Amino acid sequence: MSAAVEWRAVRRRFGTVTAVDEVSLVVQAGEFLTLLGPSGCGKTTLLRLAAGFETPEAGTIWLGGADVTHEPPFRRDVNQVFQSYALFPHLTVRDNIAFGLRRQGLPGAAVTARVREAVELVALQGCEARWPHELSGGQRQRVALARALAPRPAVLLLDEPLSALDARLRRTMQEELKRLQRQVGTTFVFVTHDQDEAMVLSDRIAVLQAGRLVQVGTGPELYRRPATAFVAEFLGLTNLLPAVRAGEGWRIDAAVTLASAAAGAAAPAWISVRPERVALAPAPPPGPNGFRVRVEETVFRGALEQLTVVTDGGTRLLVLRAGGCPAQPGQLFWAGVPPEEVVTVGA
Amino acid sequence: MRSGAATPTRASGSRTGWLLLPLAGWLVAFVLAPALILLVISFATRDDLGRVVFAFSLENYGRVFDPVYLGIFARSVGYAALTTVLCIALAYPVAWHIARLGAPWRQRLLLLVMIPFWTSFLIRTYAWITILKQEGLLNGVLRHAGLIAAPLEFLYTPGAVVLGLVYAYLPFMILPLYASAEKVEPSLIEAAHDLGCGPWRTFATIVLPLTRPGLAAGVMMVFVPAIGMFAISDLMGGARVPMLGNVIQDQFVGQARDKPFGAALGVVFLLLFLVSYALLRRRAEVRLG
Repeated sequence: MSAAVEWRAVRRRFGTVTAVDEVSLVVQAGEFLTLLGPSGCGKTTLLRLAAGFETPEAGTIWLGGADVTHEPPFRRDVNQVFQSYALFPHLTVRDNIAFGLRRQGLPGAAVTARVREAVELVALQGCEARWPHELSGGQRQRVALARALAPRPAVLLLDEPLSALDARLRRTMQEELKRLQRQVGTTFVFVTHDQDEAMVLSDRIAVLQAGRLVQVGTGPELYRRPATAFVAEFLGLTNLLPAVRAGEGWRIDAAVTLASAAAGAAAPAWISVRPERVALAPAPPPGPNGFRVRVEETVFRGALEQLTVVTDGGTRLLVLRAGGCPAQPGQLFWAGVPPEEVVTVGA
Repeated sequence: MRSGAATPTRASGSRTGWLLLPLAGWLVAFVLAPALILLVISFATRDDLGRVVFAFSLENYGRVFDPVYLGIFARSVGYAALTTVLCIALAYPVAWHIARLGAPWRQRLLLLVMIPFWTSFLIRTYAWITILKQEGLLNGVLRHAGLIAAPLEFLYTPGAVVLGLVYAYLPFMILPLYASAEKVEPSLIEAAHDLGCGPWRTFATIVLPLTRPGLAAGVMMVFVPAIGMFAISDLMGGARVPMLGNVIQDQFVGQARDKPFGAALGVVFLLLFLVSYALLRRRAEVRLG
């Protein structure tokens, strides 16, 4: 595999705010990579640096093995899908999609064929002659996608393209995006603040916090082995517990010490335990990490039951389990956590 | 912008219709009545003292097509066209950049565009005269800088007239263009760059079509008044380069004293304006589908 996009030690400041701080990241050709982080973490700036709308103060941007740091956007083989779609209001759907193709100097027949192909790709047949203001949000989204894909760029940049859609349409579009990416094989760099969306779509996820790259990896990697407390909390629900080294294990409170499979540091650290990895049983579990808990609160969440339990040492834990026979507040259980699910994370 | 969306609603029923009376009254008193008076006078003749005699005659309209007046008319249209083109060239970058600025600077710069209106137009034109005249500021600076030996003639040239016209009408081009440019989403420009357009092509394919309403309004507010403008050609052209406005003015208050002929010139001018306006409108509608 070769690198499609690369940021090398890139820095970009806006006034006194450092939006992107010494970020180095490689996107492989054909990969679906998501830049994930809360608003203001620098993910959009990173995308705009790749598109050429921003120039870094330090560092370089590489596309397909060439340094494009000082190339204007119109000389870069990347296209962007904008958050606001940015469809040209004075052009029909057909002319919007053909816009980039015409700049490539293709003959008229080729433009027509490629427009038809792009229209079919996003299932917009019959809308070619309509105006952007006559389309629904989902349709505009498709036109924006078709317009950006039609010139067949090496990399497609997507800036929170689904954030304006309602939840159901968003799920449909997620599936469609994934299918599209497999079909065209183009490198996708996707920006979102929605960890769920990132998990569903991406081959790899790059988590950003305050302009810095925190961790890069596949969804399961980040979920199971978060490098920092921030990553652990940002991706899914977790029990983040302050812990101190006690012999071979980590002491959570006066009553509970957990053994961890990971060779952790000796210094005080955080322990992350996913709520669905805590097993509740009426009898003590066979493994090492068994301790008593009392149910404090239960929340019905459809397929799952969410419980807040308290250890004898007073630590509150979140537990998710398959809904079946619901637990009652005050009920006593034995909790068990496999050592490989006790993850130490940096601050 | 599109015809379907612009259909006026018929909310103004009989109960609220009277609210339109001031407007209707204003239009009748200051637009319709003067135009009718002009039309009537244009078919009259005059006596030796220059008084209007109401005897029907087409003679005035025959004189309009005299080569002398056709020449003046062509020159007026030419100057007005040149003025309009120069105003567009100067106003586009100004309007565009003001529209892209943050709110505080946008307001400050718009204020600067409008500040000249606070002073009398004649005073500002006289200010230009003191700059351009033989012993004026410009010649003085150029001579001190050693660029010229003898003062050049800037004033009372066609160039001075066009300069004066551009100066007078530039705000009328900047303001409507600004109003249109402000509505263009910055992401549209980025999208055009992203899809392979350099700055000029982005202007031609995105900025120009999206600011067309402002441009049309600006052209209307610059080109038409510039044809009829008489004060600038009088003061800065020294009456050496009379424009249509000067000829008409001369018929009413000047030495010519031929109101019926002046009225005929005015009517022809008005018709020309209406026809070109209708054509422009139709083209705009065709383009917008």
